[in-house]
Amino acid sequence: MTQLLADWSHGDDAALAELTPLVYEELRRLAHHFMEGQRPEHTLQTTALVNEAYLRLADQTHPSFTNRSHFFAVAAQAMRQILVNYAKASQSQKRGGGALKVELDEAALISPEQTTEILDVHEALERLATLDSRKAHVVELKYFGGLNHDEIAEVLKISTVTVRRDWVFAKAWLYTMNCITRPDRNDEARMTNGNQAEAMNR
Amino acid sequence: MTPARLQTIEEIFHAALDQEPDQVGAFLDTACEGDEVLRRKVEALLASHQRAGSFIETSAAGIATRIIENGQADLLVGQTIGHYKISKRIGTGGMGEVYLATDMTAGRKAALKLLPTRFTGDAERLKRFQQEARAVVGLNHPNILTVYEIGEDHSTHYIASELIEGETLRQRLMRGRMELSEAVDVAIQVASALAAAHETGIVHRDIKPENIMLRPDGYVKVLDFGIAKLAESGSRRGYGGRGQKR
Repeated sequence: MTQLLADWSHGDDAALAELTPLVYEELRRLAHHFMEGQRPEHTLQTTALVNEAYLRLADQTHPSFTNRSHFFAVAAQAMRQILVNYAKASQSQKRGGGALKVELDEAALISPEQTTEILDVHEALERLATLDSRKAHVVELKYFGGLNHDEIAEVLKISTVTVRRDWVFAKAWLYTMNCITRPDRNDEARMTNGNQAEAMNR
Repeated sequence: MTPARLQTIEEIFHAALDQEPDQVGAFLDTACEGDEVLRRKVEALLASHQRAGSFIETSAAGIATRIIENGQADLLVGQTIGHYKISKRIGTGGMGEVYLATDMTAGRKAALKLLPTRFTGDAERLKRFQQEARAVVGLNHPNILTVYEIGEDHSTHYIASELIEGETLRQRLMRGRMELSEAVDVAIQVASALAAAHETGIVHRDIKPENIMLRPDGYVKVLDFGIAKLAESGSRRGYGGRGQKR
């Protein structure tokens, strides 16, 4: 675990990919554990969950393991993947219908609007990452990972002011991309933004 | 669009946000130096900034947590473990998750069971499990699920086996009463599987309707030989385990 995180800090994406399932399983194990001990209406706080997962994994594997920041980064990535896979499955089941559809609708974990937003943001972020990877990280940590600006600043080793500026710009950029790729979803914005937005793609 | 271009756009965007609203036009005239495309991009972003409102301000992390809680997270879909490419999850149990996978070497479909790390973290227990699992790979009986391989990929332990179409005995029982003849047929096939396993010294340890698959063609397959051993608590139980007479 520690070695994997050390590798990742040197930009080793493969190490990150190996770490993700470990983090994910720990998150799920904890979620199960909490749900069994709590009243049904209890809602888990994401940050608390990730923190707890970190403490457990760090403790199990290496007592001197101090790299909390990277753990949060991996957790955000794991959650992004979980959301995207779920959203895709939800969309294909909506199209396909059948017995599984009922099962999914009963769960109702995610609305059609949320499904679309998650997939749109995911796709646009992949593009943003090729242009400005730090901004893509800021969005991933905040939108998918649920971290606040101070926590993001700690993870990325930048100031909170920079986090805020990155967020403001990335949000406007993603919103513009959204209007281009799904003009039907935002007629008002398209009317005003349309031609200007087209220019963004060039 | 290049990273440098995006950076230029961003600088002008932030500077424009600092202007008084009625000064923005004049500011962009100067800042964009007659580059109309650049200007349109900045204007589009400024318009988006005004309109975006609550867009992506609510983190999706809460939804992710609920998906995790409900055990509906399919993180592994599309990934490759060993030489198996995972297509979708087909079952979840106390002993791990089962995925539909493609064996890319043999070019056939397989069921891939991934063992949770809480079971594989104990080296001694894992070793005992692996010893027994290897013996199960050698079992060849029409009523015993054929295990292709026991493997490990970056500390993920998996069991690859033949893919069975059909339903578990539990699912069958939920649908309604079985005819006596049907029940006896299932019992005979299960007993036959257990007898063959006991011949080679392998004890199932966890026979239950969830571990018995009924194929549409009438064949009964017993799954998960010896895996129960892995789930036992640290204290050593006597061989034979729970609910299993020897």
